[in-house]
Amino acid sequence: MSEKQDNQLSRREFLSGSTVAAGLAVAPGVFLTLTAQAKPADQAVSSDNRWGMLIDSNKCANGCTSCVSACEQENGWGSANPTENKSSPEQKAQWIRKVTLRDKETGHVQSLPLMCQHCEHPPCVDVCPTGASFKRADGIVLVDKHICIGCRYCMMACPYKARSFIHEDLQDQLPHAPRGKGTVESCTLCVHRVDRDSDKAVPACAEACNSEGHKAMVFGDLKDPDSEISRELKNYGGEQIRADLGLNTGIRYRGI
Amino acid sequence: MTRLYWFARNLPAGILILVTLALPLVVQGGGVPMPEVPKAQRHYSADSECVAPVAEMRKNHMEYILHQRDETMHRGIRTPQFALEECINCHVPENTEVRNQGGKEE
Ligand code: SF4
Repeated sequence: MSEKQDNQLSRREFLSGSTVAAGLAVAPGVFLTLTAQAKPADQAVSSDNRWGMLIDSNKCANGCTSCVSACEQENGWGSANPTENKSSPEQKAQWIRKVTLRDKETGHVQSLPLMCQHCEHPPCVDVCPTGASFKRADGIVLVDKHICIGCRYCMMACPYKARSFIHEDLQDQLPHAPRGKGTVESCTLCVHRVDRDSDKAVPACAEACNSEGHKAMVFGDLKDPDSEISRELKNYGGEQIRADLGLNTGIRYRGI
Repeated sequence: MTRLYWFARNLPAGILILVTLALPLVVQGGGVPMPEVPKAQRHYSADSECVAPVAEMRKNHMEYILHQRDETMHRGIRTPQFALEECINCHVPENTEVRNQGGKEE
């Protein structure tokens, strides 16, 4: 997997390198303005950004689970971590799941990926007695595993059933996604990727969906009016799951 | 009272017995094998053995571990020098035998 990442990196570096070359070739002394600037590694995230995702369930293919397997590979859970082998399927980690909806009247079947919705007002943060469940300035909701006492209040509070609890000793975790027995975990919006290169980062699930050709997931900055996700939402809209709860989710859906 | 007197009179002998019993334990390191901490695989620069000079690491190791993790997780500051990824890559190389806390080898 690391090999794959290296390839991607070098491709990215190559692409950005060639963009710079093209930009310089436009005319001497003419600078192209970049709309999205990568956050320098030593700078803290800020509320100038809010990361979110738009998922089009009409584009999401029935039976396709590429996003789920990509997340497993990226973050080392499920099939990508065979040391979690004593828990029952209901107990096992589930950072992202495929949900199938069937309209009883028309028989229309839809499927969509469901994961942490990265709420602006996350109930999991409200109920956490230790402060382990928290929301970053840029809207990503995470669990601080160093502080989490495993009480699982947040799992009960989450209307999306997005969190899971680790019941057993694990081994071979990935350095960028530390996981440990007795703590709760959920989708991180691939926060390590976002921090690495914020202006062009794509979470593993969306990347896999794109490479499968479904293009059902658009990731981006909801606060940047020029980002693809903001333009899409402005022009064609998108819904929140359980909008009635007033959580203002960062993950929006279309076609549900 | 007599019991206390008996105890006081036998105290030196008791201590002697205890020390004799404990001697092999001390020699063998308490019967628990010394942990084999793998040697760091890479050096941050030619003249320092870790991500910072050794003296600084000895003094501020916990500082880095505690504060850096908060900086990384809560504020998204991921500088390569103090990244957990680098600690792990260097101190726990791929083929390290993994022991869980019970000392049971798996
Ligand atoms: S399980 Fe952890 S993160 Fe969830 S509410 Fe309890 S302490 Fe907070």
